[in-house]
Amino acid sequence: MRALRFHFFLALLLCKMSPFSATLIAESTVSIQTTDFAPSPDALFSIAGKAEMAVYRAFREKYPNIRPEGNSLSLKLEGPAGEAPLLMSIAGRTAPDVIHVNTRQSGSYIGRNFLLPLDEYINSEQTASEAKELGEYDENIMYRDELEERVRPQIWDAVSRVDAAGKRHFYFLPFSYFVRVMAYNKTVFQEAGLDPDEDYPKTWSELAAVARQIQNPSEDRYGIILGKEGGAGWTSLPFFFSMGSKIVEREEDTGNWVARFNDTGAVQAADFYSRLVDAPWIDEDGEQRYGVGMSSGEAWSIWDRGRIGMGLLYINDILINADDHISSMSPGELGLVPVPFAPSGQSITELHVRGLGICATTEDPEKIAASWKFLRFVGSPAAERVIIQTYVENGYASFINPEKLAKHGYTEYVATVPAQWKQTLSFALENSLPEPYGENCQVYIERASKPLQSAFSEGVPRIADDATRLARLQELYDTAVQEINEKMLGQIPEDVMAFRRKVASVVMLLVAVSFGLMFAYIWRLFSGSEGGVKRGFFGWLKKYWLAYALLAPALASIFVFNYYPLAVGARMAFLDYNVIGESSFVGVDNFAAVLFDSVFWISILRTAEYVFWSLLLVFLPPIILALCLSELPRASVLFRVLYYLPALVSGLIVMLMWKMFFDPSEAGALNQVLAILDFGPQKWLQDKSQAMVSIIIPLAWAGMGPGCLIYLAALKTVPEDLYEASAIDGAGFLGRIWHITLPTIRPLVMIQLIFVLIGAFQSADNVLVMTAGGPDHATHVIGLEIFYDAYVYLRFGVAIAIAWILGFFLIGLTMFQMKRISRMSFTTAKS
Amino acid sequence: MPVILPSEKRKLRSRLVYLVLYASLAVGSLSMVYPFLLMASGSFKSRVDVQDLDLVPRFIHDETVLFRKYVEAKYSERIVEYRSATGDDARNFRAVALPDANSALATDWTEFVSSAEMPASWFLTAFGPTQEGKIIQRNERAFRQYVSDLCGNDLEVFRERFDEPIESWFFLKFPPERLTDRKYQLSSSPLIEVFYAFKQSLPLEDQIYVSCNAAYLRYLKLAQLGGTDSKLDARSNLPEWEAYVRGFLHPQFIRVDASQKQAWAGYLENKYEVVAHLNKLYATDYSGFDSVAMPEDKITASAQLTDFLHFISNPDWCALEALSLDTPELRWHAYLENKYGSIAAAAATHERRYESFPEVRMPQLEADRQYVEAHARDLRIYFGGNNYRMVLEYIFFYGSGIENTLIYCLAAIGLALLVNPLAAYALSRYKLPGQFKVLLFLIATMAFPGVVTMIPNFLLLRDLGLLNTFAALLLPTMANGYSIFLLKGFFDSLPQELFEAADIDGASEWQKFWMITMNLSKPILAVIALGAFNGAYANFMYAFILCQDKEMWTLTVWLYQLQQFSSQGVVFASLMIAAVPTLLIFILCQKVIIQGIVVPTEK
Repeated sequence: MRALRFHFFLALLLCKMSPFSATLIAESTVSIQTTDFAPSPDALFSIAGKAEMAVYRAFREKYPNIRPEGNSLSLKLEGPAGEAPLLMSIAGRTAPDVIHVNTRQSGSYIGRNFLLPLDEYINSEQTASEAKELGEYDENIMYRDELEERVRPQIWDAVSRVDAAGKRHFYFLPFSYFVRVMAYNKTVFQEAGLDPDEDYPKTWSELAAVARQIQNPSEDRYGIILGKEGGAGWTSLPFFFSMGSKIVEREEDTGNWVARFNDTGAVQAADFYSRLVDAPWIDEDGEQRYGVGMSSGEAWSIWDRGRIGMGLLYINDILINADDHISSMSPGELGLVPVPFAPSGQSITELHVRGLGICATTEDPEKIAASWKFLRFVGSPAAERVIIQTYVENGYASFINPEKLAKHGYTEYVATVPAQWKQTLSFALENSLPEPYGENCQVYIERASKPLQSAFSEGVPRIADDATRLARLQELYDTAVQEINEKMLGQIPEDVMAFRRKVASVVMLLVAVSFGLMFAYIWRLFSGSEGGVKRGFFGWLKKYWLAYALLAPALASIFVFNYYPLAVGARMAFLDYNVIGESSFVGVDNFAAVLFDSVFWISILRTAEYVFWSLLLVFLPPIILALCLSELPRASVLFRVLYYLPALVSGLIVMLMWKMFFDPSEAGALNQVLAILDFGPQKWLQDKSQAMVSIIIPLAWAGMGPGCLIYLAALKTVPEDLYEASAIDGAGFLGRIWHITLPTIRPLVMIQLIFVLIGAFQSADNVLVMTAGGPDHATHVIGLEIFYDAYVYLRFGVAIAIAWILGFFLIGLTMFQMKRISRMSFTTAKS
Repeated sequence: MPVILPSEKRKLRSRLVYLVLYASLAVGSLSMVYPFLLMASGSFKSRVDVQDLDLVPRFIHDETVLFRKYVEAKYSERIVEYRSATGDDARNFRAVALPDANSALATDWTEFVSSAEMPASWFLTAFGPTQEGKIIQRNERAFRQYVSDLCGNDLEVFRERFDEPIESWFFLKFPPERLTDRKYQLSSSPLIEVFYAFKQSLPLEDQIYVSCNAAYLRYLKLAQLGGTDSKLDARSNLPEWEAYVRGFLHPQFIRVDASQKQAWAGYLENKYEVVAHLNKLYATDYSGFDSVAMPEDKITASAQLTDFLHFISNPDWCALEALSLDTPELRWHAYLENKYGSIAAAAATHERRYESFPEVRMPQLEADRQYVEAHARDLRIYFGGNNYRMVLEYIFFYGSGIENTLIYCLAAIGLALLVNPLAAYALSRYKLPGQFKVLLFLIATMAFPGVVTMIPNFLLLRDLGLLNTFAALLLPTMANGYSIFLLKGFFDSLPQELFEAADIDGASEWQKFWMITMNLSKPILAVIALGAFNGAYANFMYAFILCQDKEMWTLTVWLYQLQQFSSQGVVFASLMIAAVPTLLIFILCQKVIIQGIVVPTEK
């Protein structure tokens, strides 16, 4: 019998070794850096981490000469630019040798050459025994039989690509499979009068009926968790798959990935999904309700609180409750069943695969060989065994895939896994398709949400007539598919493209010339205002050397760290930029793509809207607050501290907090306040007309206190005798503010204005966190478009082209403002 | 200066204005404070109540919530352990109801546990590591302290003595135990001995006695045998009892009568043939199979124990009549029988309706209730502080985050207060030809979104060899066109007479810069220092990307990492702690800002 080793779960094994062993290891050890399965402190704080550590130990035991090291990139960044660290480290050649790849990212990673082809190590033609017969067997090579065991048939095409010559190249190896199934909360079912073991939905119509029976917002109980925004396309995937829609497909002849989410099945799936979210119905109490789900940002915390009946969640093919939202439930209340059958008679769900690949920046052959051993090992049966052992030792036996339990000799636990889970897992694994994995597929999914978003904001699900509704949905989907195919595939006829290039060149020329002229004009203006007598270089040097010496640190820092990178970056606008490998020169194509993209123009409009609200809500309040605070005879310090409190919390957290307040249900914090004031609940971020203001309110809230400080300091400089004189002239309080205070602090106001403007034009982070551009592009500002292009679509060239257009525009704006400032502020030097 | 003149302060109109001002500022500050209070309240909560949005955590005044928190923490967030140890059938800790107090039962239980001398392998350690490990509990901490005391608080000693590499005491944990599960065996390592010594030292209320009965019921349910009222009797002829005891129950609860000595010897002889083989494997020197005893220690893995398990699992070797059980429940029943004589007497004292002793479950729930009642105050303090303790331990025990942050922030403030004023002074004092061009040069780059320069900048810093140094964080941001612009404006507005006077007195350039310009611009400098501090302190993305080496991680990065693997309450607590320096710096700076610019009156 296996004696369990008593693990004291200790942290990193990477700690200092004794000097003797260190020298010993230095001679023979190969170190590789990896994003997964390496020691990291949090390994001790989660079951997944413990399992990873066990695999790491087993690997070290098998290959003592290879030492995998954690890379801090495994620290996942949330929010905007979460992918930025990896991109930068790939560009900077400091990326880990082994990197995490999932199906969704695989297309872009492979397309952008981030991954090394594993040609040398994978032989998909022969089996091991065939190779042995031929005497060509090499234990470092993964033969067909091992490969087939490791890579499920559905994802064969996701982990490999066939090149033009017909040769198949493999790029990463999976180590973990996730499928989406219908998870439901038995307690909620019981509460709604349903039998938790029998009444779960088996078909779409049952799903709608069951969700309706559960949905009861006044008892804080909701039918099913759904997505409404950018995530809607992803949440609804299983419905689309079940209706036979592939979302995206690879064209046989060109090999291009084409959006196909507008076929009949897709539209029916979209109709069903959108009606789950927002179809009108009357509940038992005669109350008018819309939809049977919970789709706001806070839905997951409500789920964790156990108030939502159903949800499409991932289960893992080893540890069934790997997902946080499933492990938050106790085993007794967790039901797992397959995704309900569609009218087509099918139930096909989505498969998400995690794997590891070798980063293309790894050049040392020893490291590549070691990395291969590592990524081969972590998904091998040997690794699976230690993973399962770890789970069992930690009391997770009844959550493990029973097939794997039996395979590794834990037969006595097989019966402890609920039969329902077991059946669901094997059914789902069989009846699943990988999430779209082609190049740019992340964009497709994002775009597949757009018609849904439009449908929600137009109220399409509320149309009673089926034919009208389906027709409208079909229109929306047709438009979206056409747009995305054009944008991502560049499926544009040559003559149209030639025309667009011409237009882009002309526009660019015009812009460049006009900016040049303006620049020259302002330059001259500034020069003119100073005059100064020419004294020749040495005279100049004698007089001003000290001034330039004092300026030198600032000038040098700005030049080196701003201008130089800017110049380097400018080149990228004319390239199809790849951080790794060849970047091809594409001329003005990037600009042409931008100028003829409707989203770009929408984003310009949205940016203008954003700037307007920023001026009103971000720029003005600190001035008013400062004016108020400086009047207070008492308690001014107290208020100052109170208003500064929001600044103590970092930006991202502020956004997340407000997102919670903006919960559109009646239970939302802000809606509760409105209810006291006798207003109905508002939809805030989900309402096209309120979303923009709602995004800016948190900025106003957080920026008021810190923003008013500088005005407070400035207000101190207003001489009291001016007020007295003005009072004698009979001016009231407002009159004094208007005629004396404001003119005095005007230069400062102007400076602040510029920076609020620049900030507003560039903002992306907060928008991304709050709405990600939705609903229906209502908050899709230009900064967000740049962010998406750069870090989601990996189209750096396009991103930088937009950034330059924006930059030129802002410089123009700034210079005009500076001209005004230069006239006013710097002439007031007097006592 | 205020718009309302001192002479006007008492006028009715002014008073009205004050009233409106105070009222609206008060309303505004409520909206400022509310989210902050929510966060503060969340920082005192644990998994069971963190989703409640209340300004004062309910466990402060509500005993039911306190009880839920207590059992959640005591049973290490494991609902299954809670259900089997207490007999309560709550589906999750949120659904746990406050049990009725029954001090007679609770007192009997305490008396029983302190007198029964049950082994340490019969109880689970309360307040141990939770399944998801997102919070560090009391006894994890106590164990860490226990081990650390043994090693004289020296990690090196620990590593050598226990042959376990460990980066920080923070990560020392003991494992979860599955005491009724047959597969659960201990290895005989020195750390185990220490852990069991530690377990012996636990107070009664931290010992959770496992219920073999509950494990038996789970087994019956899965095997679809028997009802929910089955009992695991000491001896039985029932086939399900036999199947369970022979195949599933942990051997530490199984006794084999002395009558089987012969059978045991026969089993061994059949297996080993020669006693020398056995001696080699057991590391013993028995003279014959007859003298080999059955194992005393049935929890530590050994060859003898493996044999024993084989022996009892097979009816051909070990007779059913010889098998009996000794479990915490059976001892509890014996204790009651011994104390009360009859079930009726026990029922009367406990105010319960019992029919027989075997149906009296272990009253750990009642004992918990009594404990919570008696220690409500201590528990509230413990729960209030536990999240904070984890954060503080993390940042003080582990890594050099505090030191790095201190260096980085001070350097950032220092550089910002040197580079920018110098540049602004040069621009303000020397009417440089083209000074606006210089300003334009300094400011214009801000118009370009950071995306453009992010990658080239990273490559540049790498080529300069500055990655993983403070310079990579400091140099690119030390000069700020905006600050220079602002400063120049303020310097320009300083009274020129002062400089003229200083020139007459023959002051050096440095004196003019330091003693006049800087001295008179404290408020604006405070604003800039505050900005520099906030920028550096909150810098996460760049601090992380540019300094990936752990040695260089700042507090923000450490806390971010902590937040990745800790509970929401801990996340809130870490945000609260992270806010403290910002608040302190603000209070310092705002004092300077309040003092305002001193306008000199004499020459």
